[in-house]
Amino acid sequence: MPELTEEQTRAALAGLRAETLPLIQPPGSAAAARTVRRRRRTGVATVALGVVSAIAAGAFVVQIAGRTSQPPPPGAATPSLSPSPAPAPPRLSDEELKRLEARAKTALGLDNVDNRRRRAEGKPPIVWGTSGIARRAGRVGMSGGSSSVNESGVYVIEIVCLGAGSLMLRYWGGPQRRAGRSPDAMPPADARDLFVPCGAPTVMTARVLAPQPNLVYASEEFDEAAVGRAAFALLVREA
Amino acid sequence: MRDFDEFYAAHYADLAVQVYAYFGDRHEAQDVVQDAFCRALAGWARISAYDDPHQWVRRVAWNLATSRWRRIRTARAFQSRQRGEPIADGPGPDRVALIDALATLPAKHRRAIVLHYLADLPVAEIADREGVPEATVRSWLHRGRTSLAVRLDPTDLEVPRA
Repeated sequence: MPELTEEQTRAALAGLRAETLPLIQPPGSAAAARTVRRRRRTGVATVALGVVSAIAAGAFVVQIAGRTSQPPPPGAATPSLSPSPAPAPPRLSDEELKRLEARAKTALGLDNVDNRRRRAEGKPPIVWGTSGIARRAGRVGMSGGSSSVNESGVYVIEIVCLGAGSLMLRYWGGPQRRAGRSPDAMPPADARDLFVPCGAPTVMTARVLAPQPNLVYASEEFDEAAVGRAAFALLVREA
Repeated sequence: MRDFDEFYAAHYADLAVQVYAYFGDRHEAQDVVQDAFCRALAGWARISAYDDPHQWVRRVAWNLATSRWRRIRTARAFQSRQRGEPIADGPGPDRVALIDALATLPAKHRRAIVLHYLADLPVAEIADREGVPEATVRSWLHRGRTSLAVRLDPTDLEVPRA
């Protein structure tokens, strides 16, 4: 069957690049800076709105309680309820988040790990796995592990995140951490990042090299949009 | 610390072309790449210290593109998007044919073709990215070139002479 040669393929794509480059209009780094500032403000505003809503709700409860026990003094102005601001996207209940976490584990097969059966089916064994719920933004944890029988030292990380927002997985192979050492000091300079959107049940994979006696490490960082709305599952298997 | 403005200026357009070749939609591609650079800027103190910040941005852009592609393809057919692009504002007919031909490839084959022949990524790096053996990537490239040959006339493709 005929195929394009390497040179023809490269030339065709080089032509596409040459014709397309003049049509690309970069929005600019200043626009990127504005977007980042707006996203940060929105994040802060969402938190502030939550605090304001909580205070307002608390004040309203106090007001109701006050009304039942003590009528307002004569002549006092009647309090009026101002229209409530648009609500932030609702966070999920603990039960819903746990269901999401269970679904994420099922998507990876972490709900029922049977490495003997996996080997019989020709699938690489799972070395370790973890799962969690996005309870706060920022880096939420770090796990490490490896297989004593994996001579190649090559592992594959599979991760799925369900719900809203996204998480950034940081992963690396490195020596076993010493007791008492801060986890924040652990990621080496060559640690890699994998952006994982939580909106679609897509299993994303990454390869990592951790020859004995090194371990495979992974840590997760959720964005604001994921907090209270997402859960993930992650496994490390032999390649 | 590397200067973000220079970094942006050096890499935005090339990355946008790569994602366009994958997406088939220049505006979506530009949005995706801009989003990737926004994420880079948000963590620039950390990312600028990497040996190759460009690799980080490219990875994020491609992950975003892959994710967005999955959503978009269920909503509207690729061909109809192509028809929506004004010819005067786009590449010439040959390049539109190439974009059309690329669009018919399975996503993994298309990613491999674009990353290898346009972004000049070695097979080993693509294999690492996709989590598959190098032989699998070579197979994708071979099958991709075969499929492209069916849709493009190889005799029409100019190969620069050394």
